[in-house]
Amino acid sequence: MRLPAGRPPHAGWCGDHPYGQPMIESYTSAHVLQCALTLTSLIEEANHQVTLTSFTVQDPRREPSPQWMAWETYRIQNEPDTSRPILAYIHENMVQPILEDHRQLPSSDRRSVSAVLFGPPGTSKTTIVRAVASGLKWPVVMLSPGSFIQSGLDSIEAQAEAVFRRLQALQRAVVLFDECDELFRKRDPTPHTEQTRGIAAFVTASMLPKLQQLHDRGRVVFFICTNKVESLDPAVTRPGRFDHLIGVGPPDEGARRRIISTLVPPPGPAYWQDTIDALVKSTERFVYSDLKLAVHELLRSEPTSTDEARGAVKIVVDRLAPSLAITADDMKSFIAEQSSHSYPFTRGGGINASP
Amino acid sequence: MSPPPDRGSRVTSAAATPLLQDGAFLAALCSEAATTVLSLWDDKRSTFWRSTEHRDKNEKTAPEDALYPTVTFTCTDALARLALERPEWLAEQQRSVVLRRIAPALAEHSPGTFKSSLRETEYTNSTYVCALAQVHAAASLLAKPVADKVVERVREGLQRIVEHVTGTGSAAGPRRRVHPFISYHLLRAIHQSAVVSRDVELNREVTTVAGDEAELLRNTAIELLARRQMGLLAPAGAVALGLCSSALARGTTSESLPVVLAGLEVALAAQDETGCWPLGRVVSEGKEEGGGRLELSTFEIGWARAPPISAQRRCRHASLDSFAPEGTQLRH
Repeated sequence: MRLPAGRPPHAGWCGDHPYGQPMIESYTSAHVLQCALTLTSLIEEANHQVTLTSFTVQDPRREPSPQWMAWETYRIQNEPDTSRPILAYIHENMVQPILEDHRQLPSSDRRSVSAVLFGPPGTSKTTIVRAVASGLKWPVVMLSPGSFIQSGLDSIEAQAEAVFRRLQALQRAVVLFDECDELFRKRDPTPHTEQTRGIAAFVTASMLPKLQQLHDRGRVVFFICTNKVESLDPAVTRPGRFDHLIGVGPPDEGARRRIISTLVPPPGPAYWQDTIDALVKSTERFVYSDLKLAVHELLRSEPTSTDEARGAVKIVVDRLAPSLAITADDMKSFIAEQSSHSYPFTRGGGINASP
Repeated sequence: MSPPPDRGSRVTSAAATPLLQDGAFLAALCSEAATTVLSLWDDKRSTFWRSTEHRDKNEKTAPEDALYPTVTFTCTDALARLALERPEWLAEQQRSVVLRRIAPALAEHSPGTFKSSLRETEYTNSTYVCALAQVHAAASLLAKPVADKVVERVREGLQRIVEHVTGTGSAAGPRRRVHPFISYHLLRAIHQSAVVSRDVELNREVTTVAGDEAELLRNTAIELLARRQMGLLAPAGAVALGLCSSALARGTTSESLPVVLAGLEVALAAQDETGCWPLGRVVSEGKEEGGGRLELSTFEIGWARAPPISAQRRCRHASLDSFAPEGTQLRH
């Protein structure tokens, strides 16, 4: 219904009972509004469902995560950095704001949309993402390099376009770009061939606006997990595309002590505390699975005194060290990456809280 | 008698557009509807006028405390929802009016003091509680005294609903059988306010009322489905059945799911090609002692289809084809 010029409203809706009397009704117009809002939600819901089926998805609502991965439990029991807790940081800055939001959506204004998790291999970066999803009760969309190159390298841009178009249709999902470093690689000249550098620069450049759009839309949370943050283009990690840059290192001393304590059957012999202390101090690059193996081997050696136990610790650590997932070089590189950022990183993990 | 003015033009134009791809159309529709509704807000009296004609005739003579409750609660509910769900579709100044003027004004009204043209019915009370629940969702954006008052008003509103349904308190006396439209809004009010009310005893009574109402609706729906099976279902019956389905879908159980889905199917089949329910939109038996008639808008019936469609999706009983561009959603 449109009315001639005069007092507003000039356009609106009315029922079909006021025959021949041009008028606009607030009641009917309010129902148009409700109907359109509902339709929007239904369409988004349907688009979300259809789109999800086109991705590799882990949905905690359909396939419940193990209890240890439930976010509340996980963030308390698996904090890798006891002096500067990164899981608590993720909770306060991403999970909690979303749960408190009346729409249960992330917000680019509140910087709860995206994060880069970087750190050596085996430090549970992917598991952290899955635990975050369990806390939000959202599905995790797993994207790997294969998601972008399945039609061949020639079609990478078209494929990326299609992937991001589908990502834009999602809502309330966690998107994980796992091992996708090549898509976001630094565009600076490198010792590689000109041709390789040219392709990398092209791919990275095409990804930037897509990431920006996904971030600004504020309907999904997304993470990049990478072993080397320095390999990413600075434009990727710039605030506005990623809200947080979080270093995930192997467990620090406090975390190792907690892990080892849970692996040792209580009560141990009197000298056992000294043994745990020795193990905690000598397992710097050990992640959870390494510590589990170390404790298992230590218990198998059945030491009968403090000296024997300390000797056994040294033997076990020396034997396992060469096969650790995190090499000495990885660790050096991680520490260097941490220190290259202006924000003070801590030993076991770090946070670059961009202003 | 002249033909109804411009009734189907918007629905027709919507049907021509592939909505699944066209979010801009819906954004524009919401913005336009919100602007229309806001234009009929009377800030001095803290009420919405029913229509441009109503305003023109009564603005100079209506008392300063005039309140048109059903329309005011319905409009507040819709605007508060928009302000919360799609704030970007409202101008900043419009959002401010919704959150700073219209929403707080709602808490100034107490159930039992407002009189609508429908008299004080379960329907009016239900729309009141729905609007309050919607405003409560924006509690973080409201001043604390206002938010606290909203919670108290929800309690009062639910109390009133319980009295109406059970025939106790100020509404003593046996309850007349109501149209599923009334039950739909009553259950909507109860479900939407479930997280607001902190009165444990009242909440227990409300849960009982909701269970009894759902049972009644289920029986009504089964009766209507039987009529449909025999080819005796009138258009009004299809609308009523759709509303039963919508009401039951809000708390879908495995017991009610078949009724929800069957009711949805019948209601959708009763739509005409322009998306309207041309017959069967007049509700009179639920008007209690008020007399007159209430005519449901096509949009209200369409809007009510959402809960069963969502239930259908959640329960994996639907193929995703039901959301296809030429399917269900265009009929809303």
